[in-house]
Amino acid sequence: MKSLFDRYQMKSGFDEMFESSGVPRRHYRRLVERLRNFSSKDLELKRRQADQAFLRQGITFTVYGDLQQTEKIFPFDLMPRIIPDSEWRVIEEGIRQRVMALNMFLVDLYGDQRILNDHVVPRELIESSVHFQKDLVGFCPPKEVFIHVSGIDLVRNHEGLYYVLEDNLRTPSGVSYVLENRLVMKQLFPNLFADMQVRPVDQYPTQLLENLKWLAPLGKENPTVVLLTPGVFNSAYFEHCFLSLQMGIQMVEGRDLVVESDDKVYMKTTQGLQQVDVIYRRVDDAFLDPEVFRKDSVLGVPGLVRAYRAGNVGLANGIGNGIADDKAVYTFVPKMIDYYLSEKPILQNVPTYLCGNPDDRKYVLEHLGSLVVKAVAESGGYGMLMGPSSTKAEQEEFRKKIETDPRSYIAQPVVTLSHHPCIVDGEENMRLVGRHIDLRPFVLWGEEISLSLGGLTRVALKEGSLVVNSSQGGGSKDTWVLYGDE
Amino acid sequence: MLSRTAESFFWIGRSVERAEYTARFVNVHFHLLTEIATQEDQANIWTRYLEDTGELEAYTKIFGEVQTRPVMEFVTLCRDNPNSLTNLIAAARNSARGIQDQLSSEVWHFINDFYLSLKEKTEFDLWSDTHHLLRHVRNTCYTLDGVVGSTMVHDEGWNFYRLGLNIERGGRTARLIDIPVLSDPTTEPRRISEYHQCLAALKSASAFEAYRKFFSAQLVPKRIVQFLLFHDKFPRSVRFSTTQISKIVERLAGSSRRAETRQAIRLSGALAADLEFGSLEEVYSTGLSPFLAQVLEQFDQLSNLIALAFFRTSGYSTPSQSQTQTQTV
Repeated sequence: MKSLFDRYQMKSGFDEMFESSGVPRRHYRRLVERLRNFSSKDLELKRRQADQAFLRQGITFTVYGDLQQTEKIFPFDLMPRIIPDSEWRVIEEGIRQRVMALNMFLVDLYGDQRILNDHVVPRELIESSVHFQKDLVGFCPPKEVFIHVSGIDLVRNHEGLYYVLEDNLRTPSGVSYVLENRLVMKQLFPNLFADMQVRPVDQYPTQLLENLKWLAPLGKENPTVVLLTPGVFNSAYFEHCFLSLQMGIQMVEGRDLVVESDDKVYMKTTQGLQQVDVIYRRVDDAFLDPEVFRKDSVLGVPGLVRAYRAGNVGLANGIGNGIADDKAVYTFVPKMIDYYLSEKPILQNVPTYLCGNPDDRKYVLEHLGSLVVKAVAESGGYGMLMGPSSTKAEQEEFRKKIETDPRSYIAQPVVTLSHHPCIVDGEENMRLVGRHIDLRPFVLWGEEISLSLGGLTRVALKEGSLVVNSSQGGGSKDTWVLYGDE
Repeated sequence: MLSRTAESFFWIGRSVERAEYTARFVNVHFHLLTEIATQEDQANIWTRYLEDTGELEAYTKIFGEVQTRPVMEFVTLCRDNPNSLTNLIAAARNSARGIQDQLSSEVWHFINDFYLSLKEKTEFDLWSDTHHLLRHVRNTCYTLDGVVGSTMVHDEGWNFYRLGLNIERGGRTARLIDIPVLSDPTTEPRRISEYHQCLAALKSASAFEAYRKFFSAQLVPKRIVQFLLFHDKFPRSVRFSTTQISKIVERLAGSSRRAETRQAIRLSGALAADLEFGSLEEVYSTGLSPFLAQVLEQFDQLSNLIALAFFRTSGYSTPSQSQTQTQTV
């Protein structure tokens, strides 16, 4: 019987699983050995079971701009991605260093602004950003932490080198898929895990809860911790439910909370008002408090910022983080690492052109056909130009956008992302084909900084696509960090 | 418990119970109608039903004349009718989705499955096997109640669920009795159509078999009224529901001294006592229809008081949520 792997064709670029045709990398050998025994019929059945499991449990996300508010499952690929221990250690150290520097940057920016005064980061760049919350300058959050939860997006280039593509320091989502993917994999392939030396991922919710309790106003024993969700229409709503359940905390919406004249936050219960001490908020800054930010927001809580500044409630994440994961400010992270930590960055940035900078802009406008252009304020794969696959009309549209508002755009050379074998429908049977992937480890900041073991591996399931976002046809894989290197 | 959570529990109970009654009613009548000769008789039954549920106007706007097929589509699959089976189950599922963190995963999966199974249904499914579709809805509602009862903690949320269910149930049974053939205690059904109407009233409350156990198979209007209104052990009699409602309200109110809460206790207690000590003489001296109208009026008042006592405690209105914050993986 021919196995899936026999028909697998390697493409140019970096293949995560195979060194050369038919020769798996050291840390994939065992897996390939085991999976050889599965026929494509077996795998088809497994995949159907996996899809069923996700749909039945309502593990879905909502696509924006779709009038039907269709809920889709995030496609799941059965072939796991494996990271050997030695490689993981470097990632872990690199990310810890990066998040540390970013947090120091925020403390500085909303404090003395040394980095601006020393002209390491241009003041103009910061002050022109909509994510910079000027009103909060002079306010330092409890324990000097802004970034309690973050997700750092990594990609590998054609040589297999890891690069940081993006920092997500506001309300990053996806960790529920990490936990659910693992659960489904263990249900479908119980025997596969037996001697694979895979490290578990399920300590995340416990750690998150511990960190949240740590944020309670001083002297509070058994603080009341809640998760604030924008509601069922949010694309990550499933994750909000999932995390609340896992942590055993109450999930609330803005309309469930009220700030009274004592500047304390309460939730409205059937027995009257009950005080809330810590809020894990999954509502963006802009919607958080109509007294301070968007006046028309019904997702937030009027007075919340007042209560936060008075020290009566802990918030995770802090307010104003958006200035540090702005795609233009991203360019300066290596400099921050040097400035605050006097260290060399362990993980590199993808080279980036700032359109706000005249020389860079000139270069970008001359090379629109070969670059990726991104709007600095957008995320989730929205507002992008993929140069090589774009039409002339799209390029012209972006040329106009850049010329009108250069500060809002950056450009990067196309990184040929590594690919990973994925199981897709063939003409008759399931086939194994290479698809581009990235990696989003999740970082928790409490008494110390800890990382989810592995993180979310996202896959661009459309052939040739480099965009892995769920809204753009991306999927995900279970991600295994091994105890050792094989 | 969050007021919003309590309200969601309440509406899950109500929506599912409403779907169950609707499915049962439509199933019973659809089969009955196959043996009813005239279009006019058919139309009368449906018109009465749509009037009772307050849906006649909405129906006429969409379909015009009252006829069996469009009415069946209207109450089962119609997307523009908030009380169609598909929309009721979707509403229950949406409420459940908003409090997923408070439900047992069994309940959530079950409701979600239920919703998915109905979502895809088309008119073709309805007409190719009407009985199957309606029985599926009715039975799934029964099962859901079992899943809720056997996997959830019987605490506040469960009580709000039971409260919604019983308010809907009592009201629906009361409406079933309000038909001309039952309104005169001296008559015995002679015409075959009268006999059918009696049978349909009992079957629509899944009470026919239970009734027979107490009164043999003979269908006597005043006994039917007595059974569906006052029986102390049949779970779908109006009295059974009002007794439940009163107990649940007391339990939920606890020691609260708030005025709305005390008022809710008083009204639910009075309603339960009315039905516990009520008699057929009293019903018929008032007239069946006016008597039932009074009962239904009290159900409405009680629903409003419950909302004031538990769901709007801080006096804040809850805005409907249409705003979305884009956030992506």
